[in-house]
Amino acid sequence: MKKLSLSFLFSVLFVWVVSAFFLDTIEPYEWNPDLEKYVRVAGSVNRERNEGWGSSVSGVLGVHGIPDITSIHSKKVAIWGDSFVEAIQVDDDQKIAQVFTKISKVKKRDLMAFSVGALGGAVVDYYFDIPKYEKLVDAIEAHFIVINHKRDLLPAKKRRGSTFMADPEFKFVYKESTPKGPLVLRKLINDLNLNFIFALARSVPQWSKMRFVVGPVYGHEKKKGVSEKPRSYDESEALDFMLEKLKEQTRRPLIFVYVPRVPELSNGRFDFTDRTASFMRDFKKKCEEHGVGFMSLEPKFISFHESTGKFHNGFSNSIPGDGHLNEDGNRLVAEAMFDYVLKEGLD
Amino acid sequence: MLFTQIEFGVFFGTILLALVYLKNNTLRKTLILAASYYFYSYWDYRFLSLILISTSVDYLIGMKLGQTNCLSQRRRLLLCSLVINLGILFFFKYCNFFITSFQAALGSLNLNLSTLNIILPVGISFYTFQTLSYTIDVYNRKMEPCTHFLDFAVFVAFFPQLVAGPIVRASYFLPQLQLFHPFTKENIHLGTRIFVVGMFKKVFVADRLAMFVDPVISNVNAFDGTTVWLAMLAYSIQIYCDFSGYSDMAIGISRILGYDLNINFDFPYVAKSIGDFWRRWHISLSTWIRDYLYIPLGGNRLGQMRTYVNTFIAMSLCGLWHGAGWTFVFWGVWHGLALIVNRFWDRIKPVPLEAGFVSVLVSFLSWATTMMVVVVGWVFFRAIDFAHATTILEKMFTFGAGVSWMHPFVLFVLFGTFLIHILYDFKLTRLHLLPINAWYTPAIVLCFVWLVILFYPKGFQPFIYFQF
Repeated sequence: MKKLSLSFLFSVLFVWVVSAFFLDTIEPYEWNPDLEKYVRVAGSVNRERNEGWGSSVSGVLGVHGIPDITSIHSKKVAIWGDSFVEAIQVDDDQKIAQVFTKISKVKKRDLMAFSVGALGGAVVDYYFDIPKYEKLVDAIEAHFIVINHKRDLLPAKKRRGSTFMADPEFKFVYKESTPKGPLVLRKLINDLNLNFIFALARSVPQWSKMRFVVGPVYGHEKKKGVSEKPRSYDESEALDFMLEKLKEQTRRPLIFVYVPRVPELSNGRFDFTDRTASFMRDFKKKCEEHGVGFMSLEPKFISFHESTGKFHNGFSNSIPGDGHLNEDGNRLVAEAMFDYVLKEGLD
Repeated sequence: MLFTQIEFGVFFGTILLALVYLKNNTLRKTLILAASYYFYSYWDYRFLSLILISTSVDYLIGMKLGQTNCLSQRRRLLLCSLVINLGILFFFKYCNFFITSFQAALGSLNLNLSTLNIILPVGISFYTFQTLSYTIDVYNRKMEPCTHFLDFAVFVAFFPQLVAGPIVRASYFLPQLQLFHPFTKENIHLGTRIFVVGMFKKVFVADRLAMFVDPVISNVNAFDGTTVWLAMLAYSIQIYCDFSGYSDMAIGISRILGYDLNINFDFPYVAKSIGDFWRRWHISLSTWIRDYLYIPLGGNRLGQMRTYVNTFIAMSLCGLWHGAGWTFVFWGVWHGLALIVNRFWDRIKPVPLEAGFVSVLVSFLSWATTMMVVVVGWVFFRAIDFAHATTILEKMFTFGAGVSWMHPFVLFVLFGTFLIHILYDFKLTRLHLLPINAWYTPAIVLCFVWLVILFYPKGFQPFIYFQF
């Protein structure tokens, strides 16, 4: 019994060390009354190991890689986006904002960048966040909004957070997104590197799906019922509404940065055909009509692949050309943003 | 139900608990039989009827064989067993294969044969071979017929090895059923250890390698030759860990229950000849094919040429056993040809060298050649058709251009596997076997359990050999 207890202790120690290196961390959140939302706890470290190999340190207001953005008074651009901007797959110094700042320093421009990225983010979130951040962070000169899918822009079904509604009329509805699980526990797990406990707990839902009746098991067709789809709406009208509302929130320039989800690996080749291209072409026209900037990274990504044979997304531990932006992808986006600033200015 | 599912843990825990309180061997066997039938029905209760048919037919034929000395009657009985068992196997596993093959061969005649909507019953190849071996052994008077239906039914349906082996011989297993097997500390320790190592191989190694192998092999044109090589090496380890992992789990579960199943894998990738490989890979199948196919064909008793022909036939059928597809048949043919070359080389090769550098070099070259043959064979085993196999081989041997993907986990596993095999070659078997009395064994076993839980794959990951 003594031997077994010691062995168990040893194994826990082993798994604690292993999980500290090889498991994704669970992020701790805290309520921020100024932003009226949950943000990552300042000083907490998030490690991503499943896709890429990155460590991200949170600063105040949930900004990665900058300890306190509110104490920096130089001119800055804000970068908004979903997990592509959050970029937990790469280290802080490789993220779009930090690379942008580095380029700016090299080019001797007094301009820095900071990013506010969160998994599943959409324009409706940035609509509510932009004025709050402008109040707390001074000298924001422009807002870059990174998008990679039309769903980032259009009305959707109910989301966990704020929602762009289409029914009965176009409307942005605010709702804070509550992190799953007790906040204290999340912080404790993060502080003590007890991520294996989280991984263990994550397998619990599988237990509740246990089946003991004999087979065969047939797949059930989804019952037809009341459609959960939002009312059919005109995409063009929805985009007009969204752009107008967004412009009401800030006087600073708004620039949409389109990061297409290409390539697609199928039938033995990497296909750079962008299935959202036609929608984005129309959206670009809309942006021009509303005086909003738009840039697409598609040509840059393709020429990068053609000249180097590498992709802007995917990591050595995930399928090449699939998933989030890698170090090169973050750099390409940052370069494109800086070139835009040089070319178009921020007035 | 998979051994790696939580449902299996609940199922097996319940069986164990019940067996602890059952002191009567007949009741214990009845419970094991009921559990085995439930285990099989969990997948599809309708196919339990096939097991019941096989069990009843072979039990009755075995009894009849024990009652008669008339050679012609004995032959008829054996033929009856072969026709019924192989007929069921043929219908469920090979019917559509032969329909499509005939259709392709006679395409010019505009024959329009439609395939049948048949589901392949899980484990049919395994339990069919198991019941056949019993009838053939009784026919050859190598064993007495089983007189207890319960024992025979348990032998056919014993849940640890029912769906993916190891293929157990009746002469080895039936005598064990006659004895009461109380739970012993040694069996529980040993069984748990073997089970956990098997689960680790399957969940931590094989399933994670699949995440690399599947996208590369499915899109082989997109990747460069080095990546395709890496994928095929990874597949070689994946299929080994997947199948030997299942075998280990089956052996471990049986051991906990007090029953012994023969070893099914013995470090096949240390083999220095293809003959040696087949003495280490899927041992229960290779010995079955040797005893019930190769030797009855004449084995090596009818001259050199006939030995080659017998080897070729046996291995081709071995390929067909693995899957109803011409790539599987070719895989068998490939190994058959390699065994023939191996046998021929054994005849003409010079006298063994004295220990020294040249001897080590020759030994290394033998191993490398064997591995090359095995890996190329796996290409046909993994490919969906010959065109796909050709593309894979072309990429490998021309080092074709494409995207390079060096997955760190795959490189780590390759290095680890290489290291473990080197340790094995240096006879450091203590480390492999994790001896019961070693202070580190429970700690390592528990670490394996943790790794399995933490890196449990998302989604359903069936065992590769379930399809056979």
